Amino acid sequence: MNRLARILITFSSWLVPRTRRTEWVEEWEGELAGLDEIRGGSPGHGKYPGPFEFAAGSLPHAAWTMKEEWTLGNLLSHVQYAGRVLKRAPGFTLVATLTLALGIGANTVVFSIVDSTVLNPFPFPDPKSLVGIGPAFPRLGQELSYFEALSPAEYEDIRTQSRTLERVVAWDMGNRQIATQDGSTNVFTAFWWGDAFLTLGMTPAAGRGFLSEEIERGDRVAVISHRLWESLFGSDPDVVGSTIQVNGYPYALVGVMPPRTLIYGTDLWTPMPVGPEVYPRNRRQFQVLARMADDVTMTEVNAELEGIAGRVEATHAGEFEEYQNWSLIASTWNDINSQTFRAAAFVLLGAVGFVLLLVCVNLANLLLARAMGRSRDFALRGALGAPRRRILAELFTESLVLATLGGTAGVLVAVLGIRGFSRVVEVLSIPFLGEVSLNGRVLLFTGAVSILAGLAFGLLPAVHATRSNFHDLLQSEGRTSAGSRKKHRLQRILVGMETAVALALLVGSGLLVNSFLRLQRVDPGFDPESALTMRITLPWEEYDMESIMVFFQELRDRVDGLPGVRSAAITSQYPPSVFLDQQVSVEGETYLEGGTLPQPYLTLVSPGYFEAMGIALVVGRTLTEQDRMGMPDVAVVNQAAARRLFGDENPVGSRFRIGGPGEEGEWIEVVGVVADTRNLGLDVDPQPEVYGSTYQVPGGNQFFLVARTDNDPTAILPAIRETVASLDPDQPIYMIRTIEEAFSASSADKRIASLALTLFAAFALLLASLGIYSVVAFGVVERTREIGVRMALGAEPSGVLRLVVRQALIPVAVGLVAGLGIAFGVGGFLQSLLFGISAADPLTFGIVTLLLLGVAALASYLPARRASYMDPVIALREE
Amino acid sequence: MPRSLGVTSLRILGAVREGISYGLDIVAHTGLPSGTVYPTLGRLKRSGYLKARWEDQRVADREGRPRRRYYELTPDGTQALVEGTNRMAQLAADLGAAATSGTG
Repeated sequence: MNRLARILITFSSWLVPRTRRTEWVEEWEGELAGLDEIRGGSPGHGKYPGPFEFAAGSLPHAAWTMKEEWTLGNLLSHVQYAGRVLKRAPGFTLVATLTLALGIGANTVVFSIVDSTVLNPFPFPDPKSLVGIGPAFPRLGQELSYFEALSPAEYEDIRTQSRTLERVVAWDMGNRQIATQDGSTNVFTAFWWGDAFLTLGMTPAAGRGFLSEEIERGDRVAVISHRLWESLFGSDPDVVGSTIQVNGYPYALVGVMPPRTLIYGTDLWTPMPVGPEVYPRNRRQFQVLARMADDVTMTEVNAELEGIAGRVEATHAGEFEEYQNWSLIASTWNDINSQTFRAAAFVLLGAVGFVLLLVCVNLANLLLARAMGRSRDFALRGALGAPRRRILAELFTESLVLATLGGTAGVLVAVLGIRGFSRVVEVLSIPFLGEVSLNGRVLLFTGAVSILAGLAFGLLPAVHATRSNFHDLLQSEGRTSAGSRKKHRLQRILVGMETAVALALLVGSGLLVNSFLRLQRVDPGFDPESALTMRITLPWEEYDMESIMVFFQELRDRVDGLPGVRSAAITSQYPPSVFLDQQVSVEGETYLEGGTLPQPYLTLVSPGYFEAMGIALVVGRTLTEQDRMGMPDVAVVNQAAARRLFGDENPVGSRFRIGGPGEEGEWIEVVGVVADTRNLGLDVDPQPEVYGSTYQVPGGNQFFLVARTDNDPTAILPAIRETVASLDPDQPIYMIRTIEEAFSASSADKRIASLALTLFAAFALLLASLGIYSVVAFGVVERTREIGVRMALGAEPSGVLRLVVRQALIPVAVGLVAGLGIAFGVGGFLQSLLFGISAADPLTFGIVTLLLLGVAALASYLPARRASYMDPVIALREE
Repeated sequence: MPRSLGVTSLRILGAVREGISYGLDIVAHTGLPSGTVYPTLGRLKRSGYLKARWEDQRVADREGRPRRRYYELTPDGTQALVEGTNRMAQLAADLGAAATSGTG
């Protein structure tokens, strides 16, 4: 019993600070001995506790004693001291804080963005089982697509035949107008077959979803997005249950979607008014979404879809040739929607990981250099009797204060960075991007990593310094001790690492910037400057095909006559984002099995379109006002379409018609060939495009207006608004942007990636040069005496300079070689973001290597020059 | 301004005033657990209410055991004990009055 009590006291004593441990143990041993004596085996001392029970109190006592060392007052004085120390070294403090701040901030921003755009872009539960289904039509040369890609009949095939998928829903999208107090607002709308809420696994934020009978009947009921509820109705809960006017018809507003429930940015959902059976089998403008059944893998789903596609092919390929070898593929909704930014996101993730590494290395380097400079100070204080614990506690607090400063600034950088990014997204109107919010977990993680690195490297040298004998340290004065050599080696390794990482980042940024510049030099095939575009959707409820044609003709004529407008035109789509394509058949052409059927983009334009866009006529003529209904159908094709449809012959006079080889239709005569435009973006080769006339072919109810202006194109907007209002005051205009903006949005991923990577690379270059500078500068100070001796013995200043710089550049050179290796190895990941340049572009590699070498040479030259100017007499006297 | 003392501290100060001067004895007389008594002694010492003195090594040697640590009241401690006790008494009186008026 007694022995147990002693063991417990010994155990507890380990908690007690060493300075107080002897006394502490003595007091407890004394008390325990007293207890022994009193109890002495006689049972009559009931008031006294048993020895073990008594000794149990030693544990809380030890804990209290330990804690007493760290009381608030104590800590405060440590913090104050740390503050004074850091204030005495403002350069160091500033650099360390900024390094931490940018490291933590940049990482948090990038991780948050990637998390909310690529990893978890949607709030839907169990995202792994939420799948979209898309087709690939090799016969049409059409790759796998999930957007406006399936027909209602194909949706029904999947819905009725699949066992591995449940809650299969489909939707079409279009523009609708909601009446407001002052006119009306255009809203992008989804029309659903099936219960989307059920499939997504979401419940409305207010009100309810659609009832099954409402879906069945296609009732006029509406659900709006959370953001529309905020912007249009001020989050008024009373609007739920009220009636809103959609395209002039009353709709019961039954619910509000939860926040971030954005399906391609649709803000209004209603049941599809008609059933799938009313559409032709090849009307492919729908999306299909489903949940995987429990215990089913994606492989099983796709195997089953292959079977369904095979059965459809067997039944319908005779009538619809595109079904030959077609396939249906399911993929998670997350993957489908993050494809645009996936490559850019992962490149940035990798880059920012490098930056974090660099931050840690640089911090280590800084703290190491600083601690080395103070090691004599520590040893001296130790020799004068300062307890080692206290010195360590001070250093610990110092690192903690630094970490807090850096961490706070890092949060600031992160918040500002995310706000800035959201602005960029808004300005560039980047499509399909969810809201980006600060990710707390990421902030915590990066903060913890850099702070731990700071603490570790702040304390390690201190532990070393306080352990070393003061006598040895004084002995080592002026010479290089073994310990200091070891630290120098560590510093050189750190410099090498910094150089390598910086080089890899610089190469990446160099490649991206280079390819971005190349992209900017690509000729779009027309004049994208000073052209404003906007879209108008006329409701079918108020307009028929003829009045739509009249409206847009009138609009075009009136805008064309506005002062400041050089020319105006109407079009169904414009570069860089044409999207409406159409299968066509050329007269006299037999499409043999195995070849692909032509499916060019079909754009309906008013006369004057090519003039307004600045697209050159190559041969023949463009569309005129005489090409009207009742006249022979005519079309203009671009050069790519001429090659695709008619080979090397002059196509003027040739004829084609809309639809597959088996379909009937009017022949359309080609009257001209115009120059190619980069109709899918600067980084994609021009695609075949066929132009018909809006004056001749009815083409739906929504068109873009293009206005080429003499000056700033946005200045003409009020006049255009007035013109539209004079034709119909209820029709809103939307998607207002200049063509230049449209092009810059189409390369947004490359733009963001090259911009961010350049920032990172600049930061990396700065960190690396700081690291090199501090190591060399510190080395020079340490070797002052040696340099003095050399100079006293007749060394030339230039020789000293060369010596110092050469020694400094050895680790840099090693780092450069390693960095080239890394850059070469990871370059492949960049490939999909590059344009017209190889990921191993020797020029970029060479320039970047020279740049970094130059900066490193400068960073070591400055302190080296100071060394070479030293007066040898003073240098020798230096202690 | 020293914070007002709690019941435990007052009992320990009271015991020390009665001449019960080392930890073990205090544990035995107050009946408080040792895990409470020792940290409280440490706190009272830090606040300047108690001072500690080590037993003379010769006495300990004669008795054949390690030295003891004896505690005694400082003037501050005496004052704090009186004030604290008064405050407790006042509190008891107030509570009694409140209880009486509550029932009456």
